[in-house]
Amino acid sequence: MSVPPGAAAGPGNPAALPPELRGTWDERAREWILRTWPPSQVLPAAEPVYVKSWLYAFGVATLASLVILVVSGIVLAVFGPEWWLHGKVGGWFGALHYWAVQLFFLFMFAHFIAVFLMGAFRGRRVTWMLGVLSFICAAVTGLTGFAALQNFEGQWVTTQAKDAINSTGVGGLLNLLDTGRILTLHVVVLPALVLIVVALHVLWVRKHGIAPPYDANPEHFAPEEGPT
Amino acid sequence: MVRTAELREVDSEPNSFVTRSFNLDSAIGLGKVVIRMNPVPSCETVGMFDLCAPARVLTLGDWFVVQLPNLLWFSAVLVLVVAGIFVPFPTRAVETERAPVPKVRS
Amino acid sequence: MSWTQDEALARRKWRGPLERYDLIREGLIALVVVGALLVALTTLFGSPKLEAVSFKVWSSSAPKDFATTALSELLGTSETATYGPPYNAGSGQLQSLGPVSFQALGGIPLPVNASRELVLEPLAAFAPFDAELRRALDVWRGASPAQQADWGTAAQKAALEIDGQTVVLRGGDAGPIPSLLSAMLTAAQSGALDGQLIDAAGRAYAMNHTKSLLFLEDGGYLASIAKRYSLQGNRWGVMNEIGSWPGQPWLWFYTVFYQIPPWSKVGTDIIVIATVIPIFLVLTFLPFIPGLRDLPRLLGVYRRIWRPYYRQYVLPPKAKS
Repeated sequence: MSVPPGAAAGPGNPAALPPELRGTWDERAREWILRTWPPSQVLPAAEPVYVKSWLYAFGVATLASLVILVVSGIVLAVFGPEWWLHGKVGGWFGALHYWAVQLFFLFMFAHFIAVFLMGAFRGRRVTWMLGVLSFICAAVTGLTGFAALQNFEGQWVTTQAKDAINSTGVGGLLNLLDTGRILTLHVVVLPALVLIVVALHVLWVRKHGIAPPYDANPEHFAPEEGPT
Repeated sequence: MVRTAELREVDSEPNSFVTRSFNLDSAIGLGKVVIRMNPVPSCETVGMFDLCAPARVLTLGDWFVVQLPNLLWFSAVLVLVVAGIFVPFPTRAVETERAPVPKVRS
Repeated sequence: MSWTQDEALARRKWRGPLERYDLIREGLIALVVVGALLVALTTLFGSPKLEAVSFKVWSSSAPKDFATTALSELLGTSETATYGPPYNAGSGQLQSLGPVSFQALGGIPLPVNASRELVLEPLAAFAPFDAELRRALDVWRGASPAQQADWGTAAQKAALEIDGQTVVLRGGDAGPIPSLLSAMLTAAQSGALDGQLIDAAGRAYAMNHTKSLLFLEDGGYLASIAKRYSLQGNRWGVMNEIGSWPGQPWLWFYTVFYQIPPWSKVGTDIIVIATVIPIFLVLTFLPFIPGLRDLPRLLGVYRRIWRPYYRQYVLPPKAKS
């Protein structure tokens, strides 16, 4: 925490606070957040010189697709099913939403392969697991999207997929034939889940920085950190 | 446009499903096919190009079946990865050195 | 270097040379490029629109299929009526993994009585309009279960024909069943079965289409459309989309198991799910799995990816003195 020298005691200068005001959960959370995600690392001005490959662009391309996916989804949600089912403009936004899904998973697959080939999960295991989790959440969100479509495909996908879901015993919880529930799941719950998992994934990427090359020059690294 | 005989419609509602016959001339010029469908809902799209024609299918052995658009999708992933590995990334003019680490070669 | 050494090095903070990098700019550029690509794809190709199948459409386009399905619902022989959990206590679609059936463990949270809710109660709504239907319903309800079973057997053995809006069962005495089926066909073709009659009779709002969709799927019409558009599961249908649009190719790892033996021979969903879950666990915990986590190093593609860095900053082993 940067505090001007000689600053008076106050909430912004915890070191100068009397003991009974120290050690709050707020203070501990703030210190943990700032220690784990120093602002200069979250939004850095520079990256290591090895970040010089188009492979590194796939993550942000996936994110860009996700942004357009959410924005087009919001537009569809504002105008409702009748609009996307029967109008030309609504149909265009529905098609935009569909292609955004395609590109989202396409870039995600490329990103996954690139990350794997670079062994970027070294020292970044939670980041990796969050990535896999975001894929699973996104795939489920896509499935419920079909159900919310309310056209033939919705009818077909839901009546077929229900058998697989029923076989696991959670058919009562995830009833694809219950259009109301699936719509609210797809529009509210699942996108929130996807966005939270993706946000955590990105935060964890910034937390550790971009993974270095195998056999990088040891002089390029700070000394080993002691146990935290 | 080749037309075949149409089945008698069961329901004379204007928007009901009719038997259709049409000339299948796919976008990649695979030749003309005429098929006669049983009454099914008609496929529409707002796009400029109508992709409603059935996709070309690739079959290997007795169980590997993939539709062309999906094959293109997977190919796009591979092309992206291969391009990402080999296409040079524009290098910056300025590189700063935080620690005095000598370059091996410039 | 070993995995432990690789990981230890990767955990250390970078203090080496840097280059100018702007995350916000990169993000905005990606947004513009991807956005332009998406607008182009959308405008050029759109997405497929196939109108939903209503009872009216189904019964008009495939009346024999509709009548046959309605008969199976009435007699409790349809796939829905014999499905099992979560709809009822049957076992027609009950899947188990060895001795365990997760499906059975889920109970019956979505009860559906096919005969009553899909046929008799909707018909009862039309009874005030049709004396013959009223009579047929009374006869059916007044008959003993044994009598109903006899009529049912005769109906199933008979040849079902469609004559206009009448269902004719040739051969055997099926009692009031032909009248009931004819009434169903008439109601469906007029559009009266659509709406909430089956899903939520008497209620103001309903967005739960479980019953009507189950009824619809019991017929063969939906599947015939799916076959026409190559969407069936046994031909990688899960991955496919109508026409020449890409489908859900990212589900290939799931659908592949429906196609290859021995999974294709067993044919149940639960066995595929039971296979895919461990695969996903392996994928999730890959950084913890020796061997798998060393694959990137073994493959060696990284040497090409980071070649500029290695050339400039890393001494080749031979040059070390």
